[in-house]
Amino acid sequence: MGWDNPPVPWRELQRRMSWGTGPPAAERPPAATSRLAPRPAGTTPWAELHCHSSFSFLDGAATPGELVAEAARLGVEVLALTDHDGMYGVPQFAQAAARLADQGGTKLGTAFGAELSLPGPGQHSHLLILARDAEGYRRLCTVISAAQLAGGEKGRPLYDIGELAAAHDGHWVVLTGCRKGPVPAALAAGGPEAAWRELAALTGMFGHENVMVELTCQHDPGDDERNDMLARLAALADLGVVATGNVHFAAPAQARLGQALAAIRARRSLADMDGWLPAAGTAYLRSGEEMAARLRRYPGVLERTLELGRQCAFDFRVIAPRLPDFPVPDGHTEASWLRELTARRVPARYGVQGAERVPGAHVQIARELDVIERLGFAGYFLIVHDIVAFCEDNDILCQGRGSAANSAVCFALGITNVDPVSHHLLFERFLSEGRDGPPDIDLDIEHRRREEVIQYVYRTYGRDRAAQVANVISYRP
Amino acid sequence: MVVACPDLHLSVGPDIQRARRHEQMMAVVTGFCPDVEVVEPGVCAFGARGPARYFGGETALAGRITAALADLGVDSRTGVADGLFAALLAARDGTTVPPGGTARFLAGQPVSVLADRDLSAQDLAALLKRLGLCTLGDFAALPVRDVASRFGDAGERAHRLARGLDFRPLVTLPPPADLSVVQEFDPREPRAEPVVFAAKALAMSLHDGLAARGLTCVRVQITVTWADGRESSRRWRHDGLLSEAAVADRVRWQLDGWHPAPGGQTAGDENTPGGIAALRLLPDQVVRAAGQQLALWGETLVSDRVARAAMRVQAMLGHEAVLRPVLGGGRNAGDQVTPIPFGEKTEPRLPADRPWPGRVRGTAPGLVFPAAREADVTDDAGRAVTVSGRCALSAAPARLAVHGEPSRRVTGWAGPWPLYERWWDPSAARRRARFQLATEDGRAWLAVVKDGGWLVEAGYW
Repeated sequence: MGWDNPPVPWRELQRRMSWGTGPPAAERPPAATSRLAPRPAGTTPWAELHCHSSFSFLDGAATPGELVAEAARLGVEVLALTDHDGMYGVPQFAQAAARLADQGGTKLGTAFGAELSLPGPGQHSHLLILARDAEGYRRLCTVISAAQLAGGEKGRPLYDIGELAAAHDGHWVVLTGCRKGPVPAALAAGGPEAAWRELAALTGMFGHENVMVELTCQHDPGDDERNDMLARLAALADLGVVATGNVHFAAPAQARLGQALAAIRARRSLADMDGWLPAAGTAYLRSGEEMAARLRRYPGVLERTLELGRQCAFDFRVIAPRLPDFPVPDGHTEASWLRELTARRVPARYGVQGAERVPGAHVQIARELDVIERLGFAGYFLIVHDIVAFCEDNDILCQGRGSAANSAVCFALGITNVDPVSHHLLFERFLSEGRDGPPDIDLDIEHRRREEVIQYVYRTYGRDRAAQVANVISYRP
Repeated sequence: MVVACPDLHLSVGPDIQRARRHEQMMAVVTGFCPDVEVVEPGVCAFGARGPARYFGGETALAGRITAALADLGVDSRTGVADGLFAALLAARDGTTVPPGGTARFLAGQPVSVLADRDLSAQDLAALLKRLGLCTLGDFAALPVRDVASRFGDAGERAHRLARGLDFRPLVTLPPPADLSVVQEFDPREPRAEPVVFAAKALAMSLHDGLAARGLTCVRVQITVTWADGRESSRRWRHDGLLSEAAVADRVRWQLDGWHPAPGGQTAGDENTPGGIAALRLLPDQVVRAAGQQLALWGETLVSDRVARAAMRVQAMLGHEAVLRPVLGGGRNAGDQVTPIPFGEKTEPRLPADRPWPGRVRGTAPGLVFPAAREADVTDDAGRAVTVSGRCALSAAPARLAVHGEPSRRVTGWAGPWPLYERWWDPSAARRRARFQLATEDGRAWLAVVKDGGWLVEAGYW
């Protein structure tokens, strides 16, 4: 019995099985922007620094891709993604922006941040943090990870205010946030004095130069009054002032979806929710001209926002994660230790050099080790080998599968159990210098004892460096 | 069902023989249904549903009655319809209108039938004809408010008839019989004082009985029965406000009135032979008890006088005639006040305890137009100011011209504040962009752009 399926991606399979032969779904332009003609170049530049995507679950209504496309159409120069308590949307966001640049479209600067839900009296208070640079991004991820672990429950991060204040070291910009931000909330509840106290607390924690007062422009009757007061407070405190749209969807057409999500979040019908819904969906992305019209009242704010946006924008590729170092015996590097381990185990698989059972096996292993070393993945192989060794030692069924089966090193190390050399499997399908990104070795582990392996990994590398990952699943209507 | 005997009806003047024939006719009809109402000599009516079911249908019942009257030598016709007026019309040519078909039956009748039984409606019928309203259907199609304002009370009455409704709206619930309370005196009580004392306890049990059902009465009927069978019965305004002592007082006044000896002395003279046998309190016009109500004006509880006056007006003009504004939620000045009939404890249409994001803040407008007034808002160049779907304003508003008023210069403005409410319900959806405009005459306006046109919804003065 054998399988003879051609290598067809699921997307292609789905397309072929659907009616019609249109382009794959991913290639279609997002619905929110399809009806609108592209905006001519030469527009007023603008940076949107407060933007939720659909990764702010049941809050944002647009995917990062839709936001990027709309921002490009509007001529927005910098877009910051600031989802709630996580960076879940960042990969899609960065990819969409990179694709945009690859296609020769406008270059959209990407900035990264998060809106943290801090425990407050009664309601949660929101704190908007933007990473000034890659280091700021790392520090932000660290505190969010710690808070998510400390919360002990999904979607209930528990931040330590003191730790936040200690963690920034000038790599963050803190905005005063939406109406749930500490300063606007205090202004609404307790007047300017209360807002002043909150503002002083923020500057005390994060430093005078790292706190910016945020004016939110959403065409709400209360906007002007609140923004006037915030601007006056900022002038008194000599703080920078920026403006945002507190964006929750790309275009006005998505406003209804946003309201439906809000109703779902509150587990009410839309009609019951009426008294809490925004008067109109105005939390969409705006162009530089639109913001200039809104901000005429506050001279200098548009420029200040743009300046901050440009400062905070960086390419996501600079923060590509690095695998943790693998502990090796003294005198060894990761590469030499991998060579050592492989050399120890090759004879059992292929026989000693000169008397190999499979012709060319030693040559192939040497070639693979060279590639692995050149690409710097030795540590990765060591980590996987370590996990497999743990399984072997504890008598847990474990089997490498997928493209790793093309590697004689994997076979030698016991990660896989099919001899790729005698079956003439192609190593380049697994790892080659022509392709970037780390290889992936899939391990199937006996399901009843998988938890033991997971706990071993957590113990070995630390709970803050090992995580279970999930796919982003989307449903098509 | 209406049974009409034209030869009894049409002849004019008293006639002993005709009166006897009428009595015979009534005896025949009551043989089929005991609860018969005499409409006029020779014409009677009764609710046909019960007897018709018993006798095998309306047609069968009509046939039996007609046959029985024919035995007496009386020529008769029957008519069946929903409602007395339609049944009377149906009886003219012996029609049976099926249930639910009354409106269609009436719609085909000429307006002149309105004058058939009501001579005062003759002018109205002639006028309607001149106006081109030839049938009752034409007339019934007019809005009742317009009819009432043009033709007055008589017109409204005729309109009700044309729509197949009864002469006047039924406003009260019939008092359930068990709500009355009776105290019998055995032996007969010759003096007023013990009766008044008993009235107090009786009033208490009356009130308990009403309260247990959540009811109150507009009037209370006090009936005193003497040993010889004579009765004194009188209705007193109650409105749910009379205490037990106050009811007892009214019993005393009633006895005093009957026996005009001052000071409630012995009632055992020739006017009250044998003393008082029974005292009966009957609630009249039972209505739902609304409990204590908030004031029409101010925050305190309604004083008795205001409540009484308001309920009196309601009794005269209808429940909906006296309205009380209740502050509720909502994003528009017009939404935030719900008028609620006085005495009802209804929640405002939109709950007040919600944030209603996007509502216009600050001082509430002093004047909310019942219907938004059309207006033009133009810019410096005289072009109409427009708002795009993305809230972009074509130009700053410079002049406001409310239709029917001179144009005003705009001295200040705020907006646009878009509003797109309840889009999930097409009948309640509302989409507009709101503005506040201040004009040179010192006034401020709440204006909206709706479907591209300007409306003024409220004013701040």
